[in-house]
Amino acid sequence: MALQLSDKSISTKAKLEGWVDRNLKFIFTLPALLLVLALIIYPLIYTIQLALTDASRSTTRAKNFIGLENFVTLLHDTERFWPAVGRTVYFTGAGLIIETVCALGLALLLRKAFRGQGIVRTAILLPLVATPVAVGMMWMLIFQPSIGFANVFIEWFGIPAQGWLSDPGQTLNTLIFIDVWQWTPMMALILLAGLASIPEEPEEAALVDGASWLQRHIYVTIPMLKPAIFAAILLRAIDSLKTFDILYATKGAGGGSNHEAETLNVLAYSYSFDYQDYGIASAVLILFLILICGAVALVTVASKAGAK
Amino acid sequence: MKEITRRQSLIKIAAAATCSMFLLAGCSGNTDGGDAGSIEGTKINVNLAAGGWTNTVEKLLPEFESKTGVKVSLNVLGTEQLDNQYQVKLNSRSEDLDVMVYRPSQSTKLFADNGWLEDISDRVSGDEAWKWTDFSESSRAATTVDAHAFGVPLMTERDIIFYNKEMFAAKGIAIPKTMDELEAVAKALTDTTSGTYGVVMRGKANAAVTSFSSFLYSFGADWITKDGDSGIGTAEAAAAYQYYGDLVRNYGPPGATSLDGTEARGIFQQGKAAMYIDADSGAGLIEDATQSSVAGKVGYAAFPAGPAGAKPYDVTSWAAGVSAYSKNKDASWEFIKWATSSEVLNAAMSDQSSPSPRISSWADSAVTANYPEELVKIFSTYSSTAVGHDRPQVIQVNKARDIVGAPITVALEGGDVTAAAKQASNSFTEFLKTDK
Amino acid sequence: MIDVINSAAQKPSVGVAQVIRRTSPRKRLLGWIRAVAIIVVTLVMVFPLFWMLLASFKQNVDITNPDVFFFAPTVQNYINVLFANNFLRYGFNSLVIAAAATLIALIIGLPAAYAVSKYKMKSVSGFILLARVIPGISLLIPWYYIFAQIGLVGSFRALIITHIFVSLPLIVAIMSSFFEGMSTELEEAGQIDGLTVAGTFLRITLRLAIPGVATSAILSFIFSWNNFLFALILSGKNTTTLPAALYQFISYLGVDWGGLMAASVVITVPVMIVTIFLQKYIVAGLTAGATKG
Repeated sequence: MALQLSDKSISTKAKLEGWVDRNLKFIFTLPALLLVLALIIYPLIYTIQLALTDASRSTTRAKNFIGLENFVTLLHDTERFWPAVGRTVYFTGAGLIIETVCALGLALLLRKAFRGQGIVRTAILLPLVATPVAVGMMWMLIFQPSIGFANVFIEWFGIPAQGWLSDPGQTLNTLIFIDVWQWTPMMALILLAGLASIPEEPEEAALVDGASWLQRHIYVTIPMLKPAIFAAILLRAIDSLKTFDILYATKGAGGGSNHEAETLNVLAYSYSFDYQDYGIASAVLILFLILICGAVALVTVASKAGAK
Repeated sequence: MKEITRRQSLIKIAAAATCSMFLLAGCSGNTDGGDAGSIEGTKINVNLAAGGWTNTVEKLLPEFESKTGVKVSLNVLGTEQLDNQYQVKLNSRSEDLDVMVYRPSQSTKLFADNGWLEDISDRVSGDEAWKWTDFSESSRAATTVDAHAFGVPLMTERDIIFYNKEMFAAKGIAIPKTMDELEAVAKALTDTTSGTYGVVMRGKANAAVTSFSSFLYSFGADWITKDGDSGIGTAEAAAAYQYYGDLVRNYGPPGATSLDGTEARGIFQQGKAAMYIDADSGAGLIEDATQSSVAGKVGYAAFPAGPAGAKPYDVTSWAAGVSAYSKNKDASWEFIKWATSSEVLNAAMSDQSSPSPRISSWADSAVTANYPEELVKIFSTYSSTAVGHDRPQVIQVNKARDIVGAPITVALEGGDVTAAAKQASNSFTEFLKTDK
Repeated sequence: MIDVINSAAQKPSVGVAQVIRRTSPRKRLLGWIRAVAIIVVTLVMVFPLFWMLLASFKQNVDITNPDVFFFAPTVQNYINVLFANNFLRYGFNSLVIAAAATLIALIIGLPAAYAVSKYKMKSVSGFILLARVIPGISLLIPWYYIFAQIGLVGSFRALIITHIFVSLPLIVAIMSSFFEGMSTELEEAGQIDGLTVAGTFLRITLRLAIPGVATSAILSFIFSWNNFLFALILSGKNTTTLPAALYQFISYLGVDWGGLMAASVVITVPVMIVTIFLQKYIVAGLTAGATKG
C-alpha cells in the first residue's frame, strides 16, 4: 500500500492518510455519535433529575428532592398509570398483530406481478407519507358521529350509527383502525421485498409434493419470511409505542372524559403540559423509556430465537 | 455523570445570572417612564390565539406600526399550542416572548405565581385617556391577583341559551325561565326518530366544567366555599350534577361524553338541536351562513333560574399581558394599550362578534348595531346576578378541572352521582391543600 | 436489495387477462377474486385521502352536512390557505429545513453507516437508534432551554439541527444494511490500486450506493417534512413549518374544517408528488433494513 511504496522520507500526506485509515472507524462514526450525544445527554439528565423532585407549576422554581417517591406513587397508581400502561400495550400489541396479518395478506396478494402494479403500489404508499397531524384531523372529521362519513357509510349496509371516537368503549379500537390504515402499507412493502428475496425452490418442491396453497404458505413461505417479519415488527413497535400525533389530534390531552385514549405518551404529556406536574411527568417518561427499551429487547431476542 | 451535572448547574447559574441582568435592565428601563419615542424601531413578539379579536388586530396592525415605529411579529396559534409554547418558553426563561395573550381564568394565577407575567398595575392606572375603569369590574378582577394587575382583558363571555326559533315556533313553545321549564322544553323538542334533540351541551369532562358551572351556581353551590374548602360535596352540588347529567343524557345527542364546545355547537349549527347552552361569544359563528345552516333563525335567551336563582357565569375569556422576561416591556405595553383601546375592541365586537370587556362598547350604538340585540339586553341584566368565574379559581386549573369534572361523566353515563361527587370532593379537598 | 426490487420489477409482467386465458376455470375465478381484492384494498387506502380532498372544496356548512356528494364547490379555502394564511411561506420554510437537514444528515450519516457495516459496530448503531427510541416530549423543554441559551430559538439552524436528529437514525439504519448487502469486489480492487479506505469509500462505494442514498434521502425528507412536535415549539414567526401552521385553523371558537382540509391537502400533495415519481426508490428504502436476516 501507499506506506510501503513511499521512500524512507514518508510524505506528510501519506502519514495523514495512514492515520486516517487506522482510525477510520472513529472518524466516520464520531460526528454522528457526537450529534446524538449532544442532543440527548442534557434532556436525559434533565429528565432524570426532575423525576427525583416534586417539580410542579414551573421547572425553574424551588423544588424538593424526593428520591424515588414519584416512581413509588406511579407504581401504586391504578387509576391513571397502570391503565395507561395497559392501553399502550393493547394499542401497540393489537395494532401490530392486525398490521402483521393484514400486511402478510397484502404482500401475498401483490406478490405476483400484474398490470398496473406501479399504480397500486404507489396508492398503498400514500397513507404512509401523508402528514400524521393532517391524517388525524381527517379521520376526526370522518368519524364525527353526527357529521362524519363513517356513519353514513355503515348505514348504507343497514348498520346503526356508531359512536366511534366519541364512544369510550370504541375509542381505542377506532384509533387502532386508523393506525392499521396508516402503517399496514409500510409493513406490507417490507414483506414484499422479503418475499422477493427468498428462494423459489422450496415452494416449488412443496407444490410438486401436492401441498395445498395454505400448507405451502404455513410450512414453507412464512417460516422463510420470518426475518423480514421480525424486522418489520421491530421498526413498527418503536413508533407504535410512541404514537402521539393521532391520539392528540383526535382526543386531546388526557385522552377523553374517561381517559379512554390515554397511553403512556399522552399521560406524560398531560402531566407535563396540562397539569404542570413536571416531576411526576418525568418519572412517567423514564418508565416509558424503559418500557420501549424492553420491547425492543424482547423483539430482538424473539427474532434471534425465531431465526434459529 | 457528576461532572456533567456540575457543569450543567454552572450553565444554569450563568443563565440565571444573564436573565436577572436583563430583568434589572428591564426594570430600570421602566422607571424612566414609558416614553413613546424610545420604543421606535424595537421589535416585539406577540403570541396570540387564532380567532375573532386576533383577526381584527391583524387587520389594523399597520396602523399601530406606522404610528409607533414598533415592529410587531404576530405568532398565531391554536389555544392548546399557545399554552404549550408558554410553558416551554417561560420554563426556559426565554426572552423571545414579549406580549402574551392568555386565558385569565385558566392561567392568571399560575403565571403570576410562577412570576411569568409582569406586574402592570402602575401602567394600567397611569393612562387616563385609555381608561382602565372602562373595563368591567369583573373583567379587571379576572386579571388581578392580590390587587396587582397582570393583564388587560380583551374578550368576555356569558353563558346563555341559543335556541332554534323555527323549532320553538313549530310547537308553540315558550322560552324556559327555570330549570324545570328547561327540562320540560328539552323533553318536548326531542324527537329521536328524526334525530333532533332538545338540548346540546358540552359533555367532555374537562371542557364541560365551564358550561356546568352556571348550573352549579344556580343550584346554590360553588367549586370552592368561602372558607376555601371543596364546595362540590354538598347536596346542592350533587343535585346540580344530577340535573346536568340527566338533561344531556335524556334530551341530548348520543356520545355526549366526547362533546367539547366546538362539537356541541356544530350539532346546533346543523339544526339538530333546539337549544345550545354555552358562551355568547359563539354567536358570530352561529350567525355565519358559510358555517351554519341555522344562521338567521337563532334566538338568544338568558340562563334559566335554578333553586338559588339564575347565576350564569360572566367571565373574561382572553387577556393580554407582558412577559416578565421580555426585554421590550415599554413597546409591549404600548402594543397592549393600542390593542385594547376602544377603537380596536369596538372593531372586534362589530366585525368579529367578539364581546368587548369595555362597558362603553355595549352602550355605543355604532358598535352594537352589528351585534344581536338580545345579547346586548342579556349583557345588561347579567351584570348584577352573574358569577365572575366558570372554573375553580386555583393555580393548577386543569388538574382541578379533571377532578371536579369527573362526576359530570358519571352523571352523563347514568351512574351513582352522589358517590362520585363525594369522591371528587375528597380528591378536591386533597388537591386544594397542595394548591397554595 | 435494490437489485432485488429492480429485478422483480423487470420480470416480464403478466397481465391479469393473460393469466386467465391460459388457466383452468378455478384458477380463473381465483384470479378475478385477486383482482377485486387488490382494487378494494387500493380504494380503502385512497378513499380517506380523497375525502380530505373533497372536503377542502366545501364550505364549512357543507362539511358539517352528512349529505356528502352534492355541494357547490369553492376554492375559497385554497385562497385563504395560500394567500391569507401565508402557506407559501411556510412551504418554503419546510422545504429549506427538510432539504438542509437531509443533506447534513447524509454527510454525517453515510460515513457512520459505512463504518457500522464494515466494522460491525453494533453498539454504535444501537446508540444512534436511541435517538429514535427516546420520547419526543422529554426533549422539548431541555432543547428549548439550550437553544435559548445560545440564541438559536426561532432560527432555521435550530430546526435543522433537531430535524437532523430525526433523519440521522433513519439514514444510518437504512444505509448500514445497504452497505452490508453490497459486493466488496470493487472496493478491494480500489485498494489494490493504491486507494486508502477513506478514498475507496468516497470514490467507489458511495458512487455505487447512489440508489440507496437517494432512497434514504427521500425518506428522511418526508419524515422531516411531516415533523410536528419539534417545529411547534422551536419555530418562530419566520420559520414556521407547514404541520405547525395547521393549528392556525383551530381557533378558540371552533375549527375551520374547510381551511384545515385545504391546508392538509397543501401539505400532503408535495410529498405525494415525490412519492409518485420516486415510488421505486422509496419502496427499496423502506425495505432495505428488513430483508437481510
